[in-house]
Amino acid sequence: MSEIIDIAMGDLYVASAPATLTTSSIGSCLAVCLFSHTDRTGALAHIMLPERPQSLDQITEADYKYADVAIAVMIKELEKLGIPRTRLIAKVSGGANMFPSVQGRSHKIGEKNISAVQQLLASYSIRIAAEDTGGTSGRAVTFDLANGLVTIKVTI
Amino acid sequence: MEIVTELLSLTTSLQKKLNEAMSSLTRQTVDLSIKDSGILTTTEVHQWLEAPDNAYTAIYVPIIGEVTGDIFVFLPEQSAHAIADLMIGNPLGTTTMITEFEGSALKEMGNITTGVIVTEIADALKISMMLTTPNLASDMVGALVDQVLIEYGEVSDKLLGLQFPFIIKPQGTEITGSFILFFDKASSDIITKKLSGATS
Repeated sequence: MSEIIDIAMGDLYVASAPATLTTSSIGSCLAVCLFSHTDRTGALAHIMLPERPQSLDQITEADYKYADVAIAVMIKELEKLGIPRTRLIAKVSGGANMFPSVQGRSHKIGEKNISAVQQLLASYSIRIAAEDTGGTSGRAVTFDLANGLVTIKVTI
Repeated sequence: MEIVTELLSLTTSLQKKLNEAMSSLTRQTVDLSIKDSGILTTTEVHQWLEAPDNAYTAIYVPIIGEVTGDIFVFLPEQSAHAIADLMIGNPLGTTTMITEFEGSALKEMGNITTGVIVTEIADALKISMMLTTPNLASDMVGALVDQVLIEYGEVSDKLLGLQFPFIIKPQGTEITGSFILFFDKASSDIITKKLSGATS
């Protein structure tokens, strides 16, 4: 039976088939899935912010909420398993603006997250095979490591 | 929790006045309480919320001024319909979807209740707090608060969160909901400073 692993906001996880990775309540955040078809292994990160602020402090698990840290860690962990980044594809979901008419705040963070993740993945030469981003609805993501299928549930 | 205890002891009439406002709007007895409030990290908030993956209707009102924060009124779909019915004066069960009319009633509820909250806190601490226009959306609770948490997270991982759940029981039915207040780290520090000044 397939193991279902739920990833919390600001966290990430690396696993292989038959596991299924899930994360939900994605508003302006992004779910970034990396997958190797050959190895039926992948990783999912629930990213909150584009970039870790400049700091001399050592990177900890609390920094997985940043796109630059999370993507680097996922790639590193997959490489440790013998999976080069050339075998990886990415699927990206989220980055909504939940309250587009809100006054008093910029609320452009969803767009910033999308742009940062696109640029980061391009810098690692990882192709985005599928993307469902933007809009004004929350999303829940299920990532099946048996086939790399990413299913997105949207509240209507 | 200390900041919450001190804040509530200084704003003793907050719960009472919020209760009165809700009772007046719905013409019902309202049971309002406070739970699990205090300093949290942004990544703890989803677990802190009772049902982050459930779809709720939310009235969202950002706070601007000397302290900045955000107030959400979360209502399960059926409760949002029932509150709209009570406010409009319809028999319960009349509203089956939120159109502009019912949405307007719910936003008005947001205006009045969040106004009470902000006035009580601002008066007690002698700080400037203003509310912006209420916004209405229906989605997963966690997704709805996401935007606010990310904005806070850009500056600090810590925030102050307060939860005021309520129950109304008209005609044998049960209407539930919750007022959720978030203050960013800088605002939480200002509140703490004002509290120490007010209580010393």
